[in-house]
Amino acid sequence: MSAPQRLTAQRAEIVFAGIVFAVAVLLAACFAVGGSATAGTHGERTKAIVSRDGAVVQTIDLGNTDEFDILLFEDDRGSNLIELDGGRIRVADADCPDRTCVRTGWIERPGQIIACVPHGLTIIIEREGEGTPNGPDAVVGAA
Amino acid sequence: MSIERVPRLNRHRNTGPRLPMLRAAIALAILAAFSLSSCAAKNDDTATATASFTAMDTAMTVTVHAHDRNEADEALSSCTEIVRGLDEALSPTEDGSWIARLNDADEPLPAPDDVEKLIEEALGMAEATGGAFDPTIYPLTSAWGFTSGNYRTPSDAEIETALTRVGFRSVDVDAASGAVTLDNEAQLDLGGIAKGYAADRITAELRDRNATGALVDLGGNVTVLGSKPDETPWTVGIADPHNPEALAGTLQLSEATVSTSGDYQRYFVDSEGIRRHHLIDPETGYPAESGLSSVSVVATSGAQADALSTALFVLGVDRAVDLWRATQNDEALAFEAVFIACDGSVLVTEGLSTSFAPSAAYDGRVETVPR
Repeated sequence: MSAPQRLTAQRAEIVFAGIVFAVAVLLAACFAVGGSATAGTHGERTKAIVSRDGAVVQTIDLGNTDEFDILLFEDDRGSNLIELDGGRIRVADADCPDRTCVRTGWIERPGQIIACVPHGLTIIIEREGEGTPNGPDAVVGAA
Repeated sequence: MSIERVPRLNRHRNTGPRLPMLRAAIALAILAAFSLSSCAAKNDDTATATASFTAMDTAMTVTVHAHDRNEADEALSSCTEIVRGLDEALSPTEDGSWIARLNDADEPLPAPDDVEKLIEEALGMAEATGGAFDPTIYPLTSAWGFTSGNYRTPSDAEIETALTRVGFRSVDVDAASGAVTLDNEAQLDLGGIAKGYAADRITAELRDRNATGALVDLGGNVTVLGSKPDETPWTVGIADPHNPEALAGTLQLSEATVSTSGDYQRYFVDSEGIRRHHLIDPETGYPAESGLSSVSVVATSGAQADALSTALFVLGVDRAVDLWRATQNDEALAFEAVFIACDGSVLVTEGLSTSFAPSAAYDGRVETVPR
């Protein structure tokens, strides 16, 4: 009579302890995953990705707003002079026929892009996930 | 033994406070398990791959979300392959491209499979828009210098001559052999629909590969697929035609493609001080004067959205709205649109009335077009 009752009591305790343990593990795991995602979003700095024919050639940190730099990208098709100033970037000069890349001017918001079609060169401000909290994921009809 | 047993039995009988605790613990465990799985869905179970490149004379960015890094990378590279393949076949100014050979050929030229499909879609859209979209407009855009960048205003005589060569009915596709014939010295230029078609090919590829989501931006033709990793809808901005650096508004979308045609995208001011844009009316041979600054079309097919944005711009609001109403019940052709007029007023077709949000500059200037 008393033995089964004891067993039941022990099982309930074990189950309870198991559940508490499981809850603790799950919560810890979730906080760890959620925490790292949060750090990724807010801790990450804006970057400009320079690609030639679709392959990344340089990643430029735009987080340091005091930085000023001039970079020259050239291959047998021609050259693009890239200027970096206070968290924004532009093609300051280029020897391509249309100079569309130069006329695009400064870019600084995630998703913005400069393209030099004749030289196969693109500069895109990296999206952190998609878009930004206040900005769109993409824009149609930008000139 | 008995000393031990009594407290246990007492505690066991005292079930009142313990069962709620157990229930609470179970509820908490279930809650934690759910929140963990949704955390995992957002972070662990998706990988993102992005590429930016130039093709079809424009900048393109493709972002793919998939279940793991390999899937994302492989899906992305097959997308860029698709675009490059089409680009090589379709560049009208590239010597030796399939389309350049067709435009020079005196006899039927067999088309690669997906180019044949594209031509058939282009002819279908030309038919559906009464020729407002015309894939044989090349002699006109060329006369105005929009194909080379050497902009000029052609003489009336030149335009007359070019007009005789424009007409989509001069294009014949032999369904059996896939051979394409051009009559009346017509020239084919699929630039007004190729980016949209490329987006459709990419979308099909990504669906086959079970990508969880994608943002495909082919030179301002934007296609969204699936959902973002945070499961919110995609937000696509529409450039303000009067200030292209800023937005006229945004659209909340899923599983859709958006294409915009505007008079500010390519234009020049001629010697008489007249502003000439690249959206040539195939009927008159001159840049369309429809009172519109831009038209954005939302559809499920990229090729349709691409061709329609040009066609609706040429047609002007009244005829565009007639076409919208006429195609409402045609699943294969249905679309929605945002019209921004030269005077800054905005018309939004009813299907977009809740997903379009104007920017501050356009607040209070938006009207909905009822079905």
